[in-house]
Amino acid sequence: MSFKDDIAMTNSVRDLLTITESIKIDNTESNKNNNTDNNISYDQSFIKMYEIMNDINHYSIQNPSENFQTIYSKVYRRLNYLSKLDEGWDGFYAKPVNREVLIRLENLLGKMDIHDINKWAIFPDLDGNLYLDLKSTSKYAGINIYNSTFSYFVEDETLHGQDDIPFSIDELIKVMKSVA
Amino acid sequence: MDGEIKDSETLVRSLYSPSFFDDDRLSPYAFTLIILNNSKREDGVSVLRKDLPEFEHDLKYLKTLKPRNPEDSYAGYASLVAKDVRNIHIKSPKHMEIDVIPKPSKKMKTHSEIILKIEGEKIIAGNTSREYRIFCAKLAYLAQWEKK
Repeated sequence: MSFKDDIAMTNSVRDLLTITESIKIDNTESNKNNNTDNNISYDQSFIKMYEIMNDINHYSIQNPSENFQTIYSKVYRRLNYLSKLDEGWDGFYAKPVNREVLIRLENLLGKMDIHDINKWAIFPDLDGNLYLDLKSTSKYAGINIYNSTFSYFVEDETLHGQDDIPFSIDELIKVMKSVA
Repeated sequence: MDGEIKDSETLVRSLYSPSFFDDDRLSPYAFTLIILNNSKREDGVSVLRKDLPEFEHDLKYLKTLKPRNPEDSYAGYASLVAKDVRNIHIKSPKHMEIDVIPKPSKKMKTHSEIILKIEGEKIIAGNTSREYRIFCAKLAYLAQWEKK
């Protein structure tokens, strides 16, 4: 395996994290020797992890300044953290984050350069949706991701934006790139 | 104590969830107006006046409020200078007014509210206008904050 671009790299880090999580679950459930269902087995998981880590290390050596693993892990863990928020997570009446909305954003990880994603902070809103906040110090912008639509605003020369855009990954990427 | 809030005063907002923090960013939703359990809609962002002598008492009271979820608790605070809040400028053709007004309660003498009016109408919880959303974003950007 070799990585031709950042996206291939980020997909592999995601695979690695997914396998790591599944191993943790197996371990917790003392299921090491019985995992013969449709999922990857415990031993196979370690082999797969080893292969992916080798590739990641190789890629990281070739791209020492990029630090893909750190950024990707940070975003992935943030989404994982947000997925576990209970109702009332704000101390009042906030709803848990909608699973469909989380999946939409997780799907973005394999389709957009991780550095472009990292320009945005990810927050839950109080209604179970997600909000992306532009980290720039030169302009303000935000994107609200809902179940089937998304909205954005940006303030540069004027305050402008668009609401109720039917959700598609391609449209979201387009907006994220044009605004940031 | 009910008098006008001076531009130099520091305003403090208590936060009850670590989810409002992400690395070096504070969420605009830390300042969102909420719809209360009795369906009443907030129309001002609650803050405390740090420069008044009763501040520590009021903050202590807020920290001991029973959260809705037992695992939730005071998670940190955000502080803003009144002048910075009043000077927030939003590049919208709509007429906007921002102010901080004292609103002391029986239990919290330093309680006050940041209010936003668009075209003369006071904004209440549930508003989804761009002006309101960027107002919250600017509050978050201006705030100095500390995680517990």
